[in-house]
Formats: sequence, C-alpha cells, structure tokens
Amino acid sequence: MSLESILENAERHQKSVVYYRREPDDFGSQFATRNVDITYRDLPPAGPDPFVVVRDGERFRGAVSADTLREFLRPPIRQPDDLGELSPAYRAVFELLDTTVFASLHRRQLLATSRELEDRAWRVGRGTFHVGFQSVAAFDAQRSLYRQLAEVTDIDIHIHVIPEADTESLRGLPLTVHVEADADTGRYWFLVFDGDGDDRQKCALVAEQRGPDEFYGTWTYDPSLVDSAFEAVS
Amino acid sequence: MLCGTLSRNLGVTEMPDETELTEGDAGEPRWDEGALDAVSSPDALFRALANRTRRRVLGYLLEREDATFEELIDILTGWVASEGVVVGPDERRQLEIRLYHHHLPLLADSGLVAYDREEMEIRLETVPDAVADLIRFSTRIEQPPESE
Repeated sequence: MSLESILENAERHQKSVVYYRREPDDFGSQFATRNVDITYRDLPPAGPDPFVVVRDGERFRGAVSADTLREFLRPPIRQPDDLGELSPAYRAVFELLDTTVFASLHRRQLLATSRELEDRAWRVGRGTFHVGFQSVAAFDAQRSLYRQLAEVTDIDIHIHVIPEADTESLRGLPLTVHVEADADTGRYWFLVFDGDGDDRQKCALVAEQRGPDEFYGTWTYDPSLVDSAFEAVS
Repeated sequence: MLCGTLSRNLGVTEMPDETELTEGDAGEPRWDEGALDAVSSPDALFRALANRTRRRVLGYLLEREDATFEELIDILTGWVASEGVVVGPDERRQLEIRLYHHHLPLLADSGLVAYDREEMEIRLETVPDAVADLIRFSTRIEQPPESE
C-alpha cells in the first residue's frame, strides 16, 4: 500500500457539504471533487452569515461558519508552539472535516494539523508515530519538538527524512531515523499515529505537494484508513 | 485569532422562554374587528416574537414564504455557527426537538405560520404589512453577540 492509495481510499469516503452563501465565491475549489459533493444555497439578507453544513452521506456531522472555516484553512502565521495548547473547540473543526480530501491545503494549515496530531500523540504518550519530512528545512523546524516527544514520552517515534537532512543531532535519542531516497518522502507531508492500538486515538495526515505552497491531502481519524496508512509508511 | 473565536461556549443557549408558561386565553385582548385577521391576538403575536429562535424562523419565512423543516434547522444551525462554534449532531438534535415540539406549535397558534406535519413544510401565512414590518424590525435589532 502506498501513500497515494491512502488518498484514493479517502476519496471514496463521500462527504456532502451544503454551502449557504450570500454571493458566489471560490469556496468549492478547495475540495477534491471526487470526495466532496457540494450544494450551494443562497441566503436571504435576514439570514445568518454564510455557513457550511457537513454530512457523511445522510448523517449530519456539523456546521461551521464560513469565516471560521476560512480562518481554519488559512490560519494566522503564528501557531501555538507548545503541545497541549489546542482548545477542544479548535479540535472540533478537525473532527468535522476529517477524511475530507482538500485540493489545495496551505502549508500553514498542514502545520496546524500536524500540531493537532502531535498533540494527540503527546497526550496518549505511548504507541508508534511515523512522521515524514520533505525537506531539510521542514525537519530543522520541528527537530526540537520531536526531541522533546522522544525524551518525555514512551512513543516509538520514526522519522523519515531525505538523505540531505542532518540527523547528527538526533543521535543518541530514543527514536528511529529512516533516511529514504525514494521519491515519496520528498513528495508527501505525512504523520501517522497508531494510538497505541486504541482506535479512538488513531490519526493520520497525508498530503501530496502539488505546488510551492499547495498540497492535495487529507487528515483522518478513521481507524481503518489510519491502519492502512500505517502499513504504507512502516 | 481562531482559537479565541472558537473558545467561546460550545453549548446552544437560549433565553428562557417564560412567556407561555402562565397565561391563559381568558382575558386576552383581541384585535379590533378585521384589523389583523391572520394573527389571533396581540399577545399571540408578541409571544411569537418573544423568542430569538422564533424571530429567526419568522424572518427567514418572510423572505422565503415557505421552507422545509430541514431547511429551517439548517438555518438555525447556521445562526449558532455564526457565533464562532462548531455545531455538532447533539446541538442540532436539540434545535430539532425545540423547533418541532415547541416553537412551531406556538407559531401555528399565533396564526402567523402554518405547517404540514406529514410533509414537514412550513409556510408563512399572509401577514399584514404592519406585522411584516414588525418581524423585520425584530430581526434587525438583534445584534450579533459581542466578542469576549
């Protein structure tokens, strides 16, 4: 199983989204058309501000305002640096949009999602966690966080890096470094956590870089999808 | 910042709706003959307008004339979402229960709204201009909640 097939599997989890809007905009272009079925409805002037209703098939998953969603998908530059800082409400947006395949995820959004997954792993404190860094710079930016994760928790951490990355500083730490020359590591931003076997804690992020700041990808809490992502990276 | 806007309360809160607890029909004032035929009495009209959810329903129906139950629930969910929270399945269920068992019967009693329980279609009755203005006014004066 490859990382590409994880995205194909996610695309089969059909979501329906109703976008209540005031005027046409580029809302729909954010989603992968195979995965997300979007309906547009016009709001009357006396209605609420534009908002989005998400369903899995017939099942209502949640509603969020278009403003909140926009801010979520294009987060402010500053991210919370410390693990354990994410509010439950912020997490609710992740859960609402889980297994949604996005056509154009922004780098800052992926950083925020990564933080959410790392935070989960941090709270569980055990299990196996695979993370891939596409570039030397990406790895350098997160090195201290992973050092902390490795030192403080019992998580079995596997770091996948491209051959150019300087892994000297990780020597002696309780984590495993996989230096991989194959193209996937450079192409995909991924994190996979097995929740130490607890289905409720499993999570994964898989995003393929399609442009300098644009990724095609998804995050998921679906245990079977996470299991197959786990197979793909281990 | 997102965390800030989202960290406000998650619950679906509504002001207590005391208006219909105590009053009986006996001494209620009536309209002058033929003044506002669609509406059963001044008390019924203001009772209908005394609750935010019902004002939202009336405001929406005034522009759409009719709506399905699903559509109204979506709109009410959107109002809650506009406060910066994610509205989950439980909150939505609460809105459904309140709308179906409480607000719609009360609106129907007021004579402003008619609905088909089988088809779950909700329709605004023909209301006099003065009442339409009052509904517009009541939705317009409602300000979004202040940021904390």
